[in-house]
Amino acid sequence: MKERAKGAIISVIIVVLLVLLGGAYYRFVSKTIYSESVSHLTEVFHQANVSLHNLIESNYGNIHLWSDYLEYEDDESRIENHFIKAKEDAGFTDFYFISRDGKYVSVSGEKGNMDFKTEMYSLILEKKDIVIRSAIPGHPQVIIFAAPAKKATYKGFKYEAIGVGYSNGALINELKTDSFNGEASSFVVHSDGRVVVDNAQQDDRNVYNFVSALSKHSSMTGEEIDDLCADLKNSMSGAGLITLSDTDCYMIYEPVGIDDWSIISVVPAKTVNSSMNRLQSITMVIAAVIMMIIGGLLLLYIIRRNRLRLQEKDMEILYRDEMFNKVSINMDDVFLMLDSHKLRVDYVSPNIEKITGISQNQVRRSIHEIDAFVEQSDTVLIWEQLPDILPGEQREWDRKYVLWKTGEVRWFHVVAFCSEIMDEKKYILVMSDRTKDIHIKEELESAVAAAEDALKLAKAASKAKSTFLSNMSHDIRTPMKAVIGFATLGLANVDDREKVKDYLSKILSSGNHLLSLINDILDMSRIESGKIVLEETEANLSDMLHDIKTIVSGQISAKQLKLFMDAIDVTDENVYCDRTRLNQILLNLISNAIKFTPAGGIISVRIKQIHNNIEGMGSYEIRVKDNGIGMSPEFAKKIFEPFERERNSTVSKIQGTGLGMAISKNIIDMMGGTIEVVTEPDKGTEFIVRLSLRIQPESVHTVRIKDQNYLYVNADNGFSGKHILLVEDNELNKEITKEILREHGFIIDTADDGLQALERIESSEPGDYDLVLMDIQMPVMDGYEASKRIRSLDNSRLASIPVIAMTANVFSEDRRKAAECGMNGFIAKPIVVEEMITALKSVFDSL
Amino acid sequence: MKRIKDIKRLISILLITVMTAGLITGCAGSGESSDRESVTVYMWSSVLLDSYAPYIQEQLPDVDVEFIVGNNDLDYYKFLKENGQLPDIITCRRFSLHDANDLKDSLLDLSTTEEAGAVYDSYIGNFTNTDDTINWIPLCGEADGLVANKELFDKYNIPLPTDYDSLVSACKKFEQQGIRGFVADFAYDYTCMEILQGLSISEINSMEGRLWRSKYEDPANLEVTGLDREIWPGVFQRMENFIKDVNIQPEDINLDYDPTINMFMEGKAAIIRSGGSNTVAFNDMGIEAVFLPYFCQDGEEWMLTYPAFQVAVNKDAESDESHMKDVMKVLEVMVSDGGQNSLAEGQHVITYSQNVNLEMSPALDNLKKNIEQNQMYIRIASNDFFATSLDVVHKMITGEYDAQQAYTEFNRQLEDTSVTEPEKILTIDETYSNRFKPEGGRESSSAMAGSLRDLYGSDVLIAPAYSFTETVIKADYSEEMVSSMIMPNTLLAWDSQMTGAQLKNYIKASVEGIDGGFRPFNQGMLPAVSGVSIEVEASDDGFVLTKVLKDGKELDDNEKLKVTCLNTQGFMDPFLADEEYKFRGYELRVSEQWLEYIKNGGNIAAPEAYITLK
Repeated sequence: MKERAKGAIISVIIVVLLVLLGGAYYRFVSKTIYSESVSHLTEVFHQANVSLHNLIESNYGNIHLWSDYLEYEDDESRIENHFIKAKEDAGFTDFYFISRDGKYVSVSGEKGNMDFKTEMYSLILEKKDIVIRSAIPGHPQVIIFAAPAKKATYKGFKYEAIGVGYSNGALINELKTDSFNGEASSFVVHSDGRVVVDNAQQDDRNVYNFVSALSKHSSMTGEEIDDLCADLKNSMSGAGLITLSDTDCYMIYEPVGIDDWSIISVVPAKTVNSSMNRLQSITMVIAAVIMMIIGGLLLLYIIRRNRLRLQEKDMEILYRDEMFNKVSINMDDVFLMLDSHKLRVDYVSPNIEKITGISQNQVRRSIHEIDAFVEQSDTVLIWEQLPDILPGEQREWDRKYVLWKTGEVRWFHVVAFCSEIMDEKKYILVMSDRTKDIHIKEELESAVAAAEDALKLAKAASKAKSTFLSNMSHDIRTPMKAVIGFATLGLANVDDREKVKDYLSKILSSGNHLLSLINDILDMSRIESGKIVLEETEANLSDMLHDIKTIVSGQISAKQLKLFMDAIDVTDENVYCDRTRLNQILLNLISNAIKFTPAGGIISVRIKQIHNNIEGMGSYEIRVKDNGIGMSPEFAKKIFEPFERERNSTVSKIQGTGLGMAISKNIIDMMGGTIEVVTEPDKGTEFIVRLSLRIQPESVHTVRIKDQNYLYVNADNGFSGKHILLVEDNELNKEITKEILREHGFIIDTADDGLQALERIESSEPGDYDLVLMDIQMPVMDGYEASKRIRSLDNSRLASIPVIAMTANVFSEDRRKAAECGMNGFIAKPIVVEEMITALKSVFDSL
Repeated sequence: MKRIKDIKRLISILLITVMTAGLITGCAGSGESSDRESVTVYMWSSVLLDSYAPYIQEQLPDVDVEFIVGNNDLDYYKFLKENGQLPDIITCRRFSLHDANDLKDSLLDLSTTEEAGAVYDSYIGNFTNTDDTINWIPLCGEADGLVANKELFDKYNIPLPTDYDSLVSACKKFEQQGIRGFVADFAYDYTCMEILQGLSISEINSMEGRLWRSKYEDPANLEVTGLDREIWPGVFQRMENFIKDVNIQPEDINLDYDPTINMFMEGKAAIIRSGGSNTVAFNDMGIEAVFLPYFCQDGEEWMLTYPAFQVAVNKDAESDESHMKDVMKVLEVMVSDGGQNSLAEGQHVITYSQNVNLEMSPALDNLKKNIEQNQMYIRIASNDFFATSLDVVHKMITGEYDAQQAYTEFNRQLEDTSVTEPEKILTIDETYSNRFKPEGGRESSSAMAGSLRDLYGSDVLIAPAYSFTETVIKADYSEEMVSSMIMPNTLLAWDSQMTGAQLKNYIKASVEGIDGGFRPFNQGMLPAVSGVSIEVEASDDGFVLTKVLKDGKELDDNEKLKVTCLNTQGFMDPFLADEEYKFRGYELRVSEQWLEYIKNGGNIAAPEAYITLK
């Protein structure tokens, strides 16, 4: 900027110097031309003046000669001829004999009166030569040159002076000059400017007073004219350049030397200076051309230099633009430049549409287009705060915008700078899209929170597992200690049958507890690992309740409780559901109720069908209620969490894994149902299970569950004489199972593995065995394989022998696989007598 | 190029249109006058308002010129000057450089103007001050001499005079026929003066005569210059001879213009002293009249001339440049070829200017010889000469003075330097403007009209614009100046009992003009009224009377009113010819009655707004 100003100043100085130099040169040349022209004109018109003066002097000389001539010539005819000839020679208009009274007679005898006034005194009395203009009204004035003469008479006219008259035209010839192409005008004037002789060339109009003509038609000021008049009055010479009727003219004047006459000549300057002007013009043109060439070269150099600079600048700008464009297109920052007065958008980066959804043109039209997308209407607009920013300062804001096209919310961090560009205040705004950062931040925060939660959970889980393990350790050790302890006591008192019996029953109890504990842990583990899959099969709710009642009847009676089961408004008993799991839930709930209800307590199980509008689905509500010890509200909240058990419960009194409710809750969740608990310490607990079950299309069972009081377990199952092949590799299990089965009247054969069992079946006759109890995991041939082989026996009767699996793998996939191998039932190990009897009964009943 | 020419042509047409419109509206006066100050021109005679003044106004449509009838001598303008009321341009007929010396410092030097430069050297010399300044520019020359009724000469077979002797002879022959050979309106000073000088032009124009005259007329000459002893006794002697030779009667001293003209026209006088204008007029009327020069007793014959009038410019005009330009425009038109030709169409006047061509009437053909030979004498026209000539010539005619006595008395009067301050008979305490205002008119005119209405005891007085010199200024007035308030001298008054309707018609004719009467050509030329007021509208053709109000109400057509009308005889004739009015004229001229009125203590009425010009 400074360099440019410096350059401009230098250029101006150079131009001014050139102009001054040119002006000085022009003035010098003009002055020289003026001096030369004036000198030339003065010379030329001085010659004309001399010529006029000579004419006058010559006339006076002639008149004096004629006066002398008249003194000795008496013959009037000769006189007349003499003057007629003289008139022709000298060119005067007439010759006059003049009396002392001013009368005259011409050579030809014409009389008249000279209108002389005081001039007569000079002529007659003072004997002086005179020159005067005389006029006859209506005629041009004539110049009379008169001189005194000796008194004489001509044609009877007494005269004392003689004179000759010249017309204006005759004198004009003397004023004419061959110079200046005849464009020179000469005037003989009186001292007041009155024209005596007019040789005007250019103007048809007569000039009667030269001073007046100058006043009216020239550029001369009043003072200049007064100076001229003074010069004329004082018979001074002079010259000047005047503008006369829009023409520049030289005016030269000098006294004629006669009377108050002066000769004034006017010549157009262009005529006088034609050659000089041409020379001046040529020199000026040459000088101008040289200066123009120099100037042109200089200009070209400057232009070229500037062009190179500009090219460099342009390239730089181009590169910068390109870089900026590319950068701005590919970045999430929008750049804006605003005029400080009207907030006019001077620049907006092309990526604005990509970033904000508002086009460049929209923003160029008005920066306030952006305002419409500010999310919070009460947010103070950035533009309103811009005037507070001083040059060099910056300010920052965070603004949330909603993109009008997508409705997407974006966060922008806006930075505004104030700069002065070319003395104009500009605001540069950078709108940085921080949406991703915000999202990342949010995700990070959420991840941190999640991690913290996970950590908390993990810690809680760890703590819970630690607690659980601690509990389990205790819970497992306790029965184990009991088993070992009572077994030790049994050995020590092996002879005391009663004691041994007591010890064995306690060992059995502890073993059962230990088994259920292990089963629950495994169940829970499978649920949490997602290995449990619900298997919907046809089920009859009434039957299921019946079966459950059968199962728990022993415990009910053992604790001297009352169990009530009823069904209300159940119109659809036949449903599809995972019977096993539903049984498990109900058994768990009822078992809990039995556990936490003191003797004499009442347990009620109520199933109710709730009306719904979903076709093919039935909504059922199962309430298991007891009037037992109840739970505190705090524990009730955690009852469905795994490994939780009311602290108040004591192992000694109530044994439990603490997983039952968590398992139930998870299974209900898997079934899409809900479970809630209503409890109050010392008043009892009610679990409410709500399930939606698919109704079987055809209702086979229309018998509604009748209200019953309680059921007792019937010990006689009709198994007596039934021949069972027990396949078991574990001798202990084989022994226990044999003993149990024998207690129920079965005849037992054993096989140690699957192959033995197959061989026995193959070698048997149909009817020899009524049923096969087949362990799964066995050496030589497992239970599955053996079952398959049995089913594949040629003897169809042998092949169709019922096979019931016995396995510790009590999971559904094990069951499914057993079914696939043709097995007819499934008994979990360790053997629970009731379960085994029920299973056997079920099989035999189905045959 | 063609386009440029077309544009130029269009501009020319527009200019012509504008100028033409300007001329038309100029004729209507400057009813819509601009803000520029009007140029006040005092015309020495109301005669100039007939065609000369309208011509000037017509040439200058953009200049508001107020033409006012002034006076024909310099004393009047000296009076105006002394009271600070000298107008922009003044004209006078009676002039000598000596008399004009008192005004010299108040007048503009015109020596370096084209107007002065165009005047022939030999004439402008008579107007050049000793310091070479020129204040006055002469216009064309009136020719004065003898006019002979050729019909009478032919009738009585008397040859037209060619010299003094034949003149005397002819006169005697006519006397024998009972016809006056020569009569002149000796009642006028100029007649006495011109005949006295005319008979001795040769002597007065001799070397000695010229010497004396240059001394007498030299404005710088402060010495008392009486008559030249060599020249002037002979002059009176020739006058005495002439009185006897042509039988001039003592009672002829009372002859004024009309009886003299009538005698000539009726064939009762063969030769009268008159000028070229009358010669042309006689011929126009069918009387073959011949202009003769003065026949000097030495055998010379001379034509006596004098400028129709001289014009000068108030130096104060220089103070305002734009006004000065307007004034100089008016002067230029006044002395222009057109201006001078408009003076009686240039038929009986001689040009003094190189740039003015005047076509002399054929009736004046015999003057051409005198003009060609420059046998033209410009009269000595000082105020003293006028006054003294009247006195002395009258006494010579009556026989009271012989030539010697006449010379002595004439010389005595010229040399009498005692100044008798004239008695002041009127004092006016307030100056009334003489500039016409569309709302109200001229204050001075109104004051004069009101005073004259009082003088004539009439209900209404109507005075043409050329009735007054508009000299109602704060000053003491001598008898002469009081008389000068009325101009022209020949202004007369007529009374009539009119109805309102008749009065309206009369005023309408005065405002709008009638054939043979005066037609106002600008607003300043509208008549003044007293007793009523009028409303006038300017139109393209002139002026239109729209209302006549009396006491603020429109005049009732049936109202009976005594109306006094002022006018010159010529312009009044058309009204007098209309029998409807039944005018009764006053014998005394208005100026005479005015003087008596003032002498008898008459007051100057307060001006009233008498006109509204729209």
